[in-house]
Amino acid sequence: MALVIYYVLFGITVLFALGVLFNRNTVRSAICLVGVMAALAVNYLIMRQEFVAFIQIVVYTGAIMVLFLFVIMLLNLREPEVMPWYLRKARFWGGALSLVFFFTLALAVQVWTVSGVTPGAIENEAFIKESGTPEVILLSTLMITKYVAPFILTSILLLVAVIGAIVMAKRYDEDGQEIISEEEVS
Amino acid sequence: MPLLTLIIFLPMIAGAILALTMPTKKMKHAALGVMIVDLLLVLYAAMTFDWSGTFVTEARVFAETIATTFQHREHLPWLPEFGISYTVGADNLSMIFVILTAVLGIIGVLCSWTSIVHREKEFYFFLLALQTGIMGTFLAIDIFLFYMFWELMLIPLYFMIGNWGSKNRIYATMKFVIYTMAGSVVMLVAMIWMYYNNGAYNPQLGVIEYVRSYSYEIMLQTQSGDHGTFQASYFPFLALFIAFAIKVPLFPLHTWLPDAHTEAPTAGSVILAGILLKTGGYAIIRYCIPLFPDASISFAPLITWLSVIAIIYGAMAAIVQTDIKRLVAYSSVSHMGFVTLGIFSFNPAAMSGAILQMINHGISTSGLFLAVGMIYERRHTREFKEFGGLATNLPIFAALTMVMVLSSVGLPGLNGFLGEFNILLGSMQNYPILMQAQDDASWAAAMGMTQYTWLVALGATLGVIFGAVYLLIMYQRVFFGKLDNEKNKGLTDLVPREWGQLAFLAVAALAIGLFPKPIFDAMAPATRTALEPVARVLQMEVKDKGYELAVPGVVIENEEELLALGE
Amino acid sequence: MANVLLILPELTIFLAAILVFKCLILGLSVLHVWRVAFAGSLLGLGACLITLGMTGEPFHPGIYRVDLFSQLMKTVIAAALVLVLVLSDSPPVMRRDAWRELPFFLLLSSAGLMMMTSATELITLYLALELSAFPVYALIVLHRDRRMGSEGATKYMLQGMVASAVTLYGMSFIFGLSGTTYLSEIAAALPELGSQPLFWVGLLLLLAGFLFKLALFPFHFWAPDTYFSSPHPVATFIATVSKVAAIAVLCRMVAVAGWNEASIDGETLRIVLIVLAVAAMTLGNLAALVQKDFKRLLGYSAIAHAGYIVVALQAFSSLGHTAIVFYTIGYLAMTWICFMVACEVGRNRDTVPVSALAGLWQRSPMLALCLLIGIFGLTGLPPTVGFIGKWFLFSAALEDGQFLLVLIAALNSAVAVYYYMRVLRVAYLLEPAKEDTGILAPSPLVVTGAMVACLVVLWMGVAPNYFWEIAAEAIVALGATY
Repeated sequence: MALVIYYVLFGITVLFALGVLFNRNTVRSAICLVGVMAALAVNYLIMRQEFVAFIQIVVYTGAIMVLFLFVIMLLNLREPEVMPWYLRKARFWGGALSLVFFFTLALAVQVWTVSGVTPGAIENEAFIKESGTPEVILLSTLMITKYVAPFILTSILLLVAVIGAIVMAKRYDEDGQEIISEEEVS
Repeated sequence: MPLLTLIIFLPMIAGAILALTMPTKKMKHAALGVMIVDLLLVLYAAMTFDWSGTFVTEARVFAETIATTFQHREHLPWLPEFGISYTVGADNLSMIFVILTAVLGIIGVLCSWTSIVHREKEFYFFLLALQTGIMGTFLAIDIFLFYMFWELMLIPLYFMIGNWGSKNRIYATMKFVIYTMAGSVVMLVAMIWMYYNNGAYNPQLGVIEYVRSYSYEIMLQTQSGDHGTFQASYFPFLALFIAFAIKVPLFPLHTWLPDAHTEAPTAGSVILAGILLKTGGYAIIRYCIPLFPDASISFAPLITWLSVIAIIYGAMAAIVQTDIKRLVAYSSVSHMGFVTLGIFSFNPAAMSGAILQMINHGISTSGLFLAVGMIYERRHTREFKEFGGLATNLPIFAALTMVMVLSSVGLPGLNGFLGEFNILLGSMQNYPILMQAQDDASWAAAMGMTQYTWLVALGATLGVIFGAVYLLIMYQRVFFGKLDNEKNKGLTDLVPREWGQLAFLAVAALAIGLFPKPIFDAMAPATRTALEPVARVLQMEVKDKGYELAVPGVVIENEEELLALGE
Repeated sequence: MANVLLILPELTIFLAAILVFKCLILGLSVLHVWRVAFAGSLLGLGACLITLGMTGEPFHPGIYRVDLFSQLMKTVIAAALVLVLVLSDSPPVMRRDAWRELPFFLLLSSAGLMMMTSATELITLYLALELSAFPVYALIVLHRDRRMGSEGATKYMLQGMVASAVTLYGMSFIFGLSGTTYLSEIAAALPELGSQPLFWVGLLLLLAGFLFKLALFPFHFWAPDTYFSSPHPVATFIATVSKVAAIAVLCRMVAVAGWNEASIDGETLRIVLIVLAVAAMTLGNLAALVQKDFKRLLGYSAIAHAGYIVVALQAFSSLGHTAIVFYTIGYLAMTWICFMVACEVGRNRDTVPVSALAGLWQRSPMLALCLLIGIFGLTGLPPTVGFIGKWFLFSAALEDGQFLLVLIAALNSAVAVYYYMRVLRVAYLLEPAKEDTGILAPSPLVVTGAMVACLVVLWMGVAPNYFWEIAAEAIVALGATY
């Protein structure tokens, strides 16, 4: 049963991902990305990785996607073109999808409550039971002991990404030529 | 005193220093000086050399103490973890070629005296570096070191042909480099392979004991009883042989040679024909035969036939050439065919003939290339049809070239005859050891014996006749007849520097032709060491088949007879 | 304190990067920024040399290992970084407003590469890989020809992203099977893990990101294009510095998985590596034959060389690893020399066609001589390290009995002679083209760097003992860990 849920969810994720790729309209693409993130979050939830799931929702679906949309809207807000065939009956598809989503969730809840066991969560659960520590505390402890190096590295990585983005996005004039001020060259 | 090291590295190091410090005008004088000093060193080494062939001493190679016949030996550990050392030494075989190299080095400088006017410093530096590579190839007795020198020969020649050659030089030099490199990379694999499979059968323990070393002296003692398997002998033999055969060059691998010879500057051609081709023959005698006697015997029929094809093919190709230099180049293919034929006859007479043939070829073909170079310098063409009747206004030149042509043709009394005659004689009585035991013709055939030895010898003799045809026709067209081309009328005869070179080679040709005894004496030990492992294997095989064997046939038999014929 | 000393090289380079960033914010001139960066990289090299003999684990045990192997690789990275910075002094092929940022990104990427050599935990490894890649993605775009820059960056970035995603995917397999991301624990569990095919699949996928950096066969597509279309100093960086770290990681991974007696199924990994090596060598060499652009040619030659390196890697032996470490040091010097020539000749050109080298011996005998040494090295001619290094690589594979593989490798290097010699032919045997007959005068710093690199190439070729011993000791240190 659990497997069915997984596969359905994976299917949805892939569909959304394809939507990101094949939509001509950027905003619609971005919305699809939200779908991908949300579906992934549900996946995590089913695997009992609550922390990751919430982070997923908060960071990706919330913050990053909003940023994306901001950027897209600032850059080129265009009227949507003619609807592609698969989006003509948006209401129908929307309704269908939400139904599927609803049933999946229902199934998930059922499986969760009835059997109480989900694949992949066993170890984690046992660990929590033993230590009695909430997952967040556990995670943070791990982060500054066992995984301290990746933790540090991640922060450096973010720094690099930010600076890289700034440099890449630096001044260009209309023709794509760089703008050089004299004092900068000397 | 590290005599051999000095002989090897003096030219290159001195060349580098001179190229950086000398004014351009003086470079050739300085290069000549270096070559002369190198020759003096070589002569000193030759004087203090024990030519008798009885020289045996103990030497230490890493952990092992071994008997060695190499003289002036120098040994320095280099990469001991890999059994690689810097070991140089000379035996009779290498000493002969070292002398030849030193002499031709001087001629190489002299013949470039006026013809090289462009980027002179670099030219003489490359010439000197080439000398280092060749000397090292002849004197190295660690196969890793040998390989380094072998590759080192390639680089200067690439630039010499590519920079100072004639019209098609870039095509020729690329072809030359790619051919030689293709051969040598396979040789590289074979050498590493030999390193890992280098072992001798230990009868007490009943296992093969492996010795990890690149030292030729060690390999000679372990590998010489090789196991006749693909792994231990056929593959390395073939890989080495192909690399060496490209240099020789043997028939299907020869196509780089006409281009490289024709396009090279005179000095390049002289060194290429005079010495470089000899490194191939030398390496076959030094490495292929003693290290892999089994494989040598197995492949001998094939190689013999290829040699015969080379002899006839080279001669026939030479006949149809219209360019004098190309003709001489094809004559090299033909002449070097004799060398491989002689080596793979496994017969003392043929082996010494092959060594002598290499020396002869070094003298006569270098002389011919010098002559072509001198004509080219005067007329800037090498086509037959441009010449005719040059004997009337260039008498000295005509006379000296005559000697070279006759020496190359193989006229009795000159050097060329002795080499070719010995090889023919030897190939006729192929495998003397087995001939004595042979009373079963079919078995001999199964052993790869050439029942057709007479056919081989016949083919080779045909080559000699063709040789006379093309060389004499060439001589006739260029020097005889009427001096009818206006452009040839104003030509001046040779200056002393030029005829000096030719006269020197002519005297050498005559000297070897008339008094060959010292050279045969010097070669005898080399022949013996080269053939000894083969003889041992043949002897064993004969015994296995239940035949009685009289005496190992490693004796110079008909030497007296030969000498009589020579005079 | 001792811990800080252990990570001194990374720390120095990273602090130098921060300092350079500060200088950027303060608006210092190009020259000043470059000087700070150069001094920083020299200090980094010094720090590497100081820590060369040290062993220890600065963080939580098992996460980050400092030993002779990692420190040797870091020293090589730092030295190569110094050499690349020598060429990065205001290169005209870059957008001028990016000149100042160039050293900053190079420093950061090098810090990431250094961490890769020490990381013994999968997540750290992955993050270090990304840290080394991000700055380079940014740098390629900064070509003065915007279209070329975008093209190169897109190719490099897309394929790099895919490769690192595959790496992450492979890591998840291994984590899923073993429940740990620590290499030491994985190595301990190998007897059980090794019998599961999925583990080997995971390991292979994991290697993808590093094979990508090395430009081995299925991940090679980017190399020629990116070399071609990125600014010359950046291409130099990608071709030299970033290879070292990839090789270090490959060595470590194979040492974990392959050396272990218990891993019978290591054979699978070996077969895959052999196939990849053959494909890379053959493809790289054949494609290089027809190249007209010098940097593109070097790109294909890099693919072939990746193949040669894997020839020794598949031997799963300490001899093979030592040969690889040895060859890497030499390869770095040779490649740098070739790129140095490309940088100097292509100072005012967006691309460096082989024909631009025509008559180099007239325009600058020094550069011509350097090119000669570099190309001879890549060809594998004595007395350069290219020859002796290849000898070692082939020895390692033959010790293992991989006769056919070595034969293929040798024939490949014979094919390679043609295109390398073609470069030399243009540089030495042809007259300069009409439009560029000017004398090339490299700066004294470049000349010094070139002399050092040439010296290394020749020294390692003639007297390899010293380097060989260090490499061997480093590999002993690596082997002792698992």
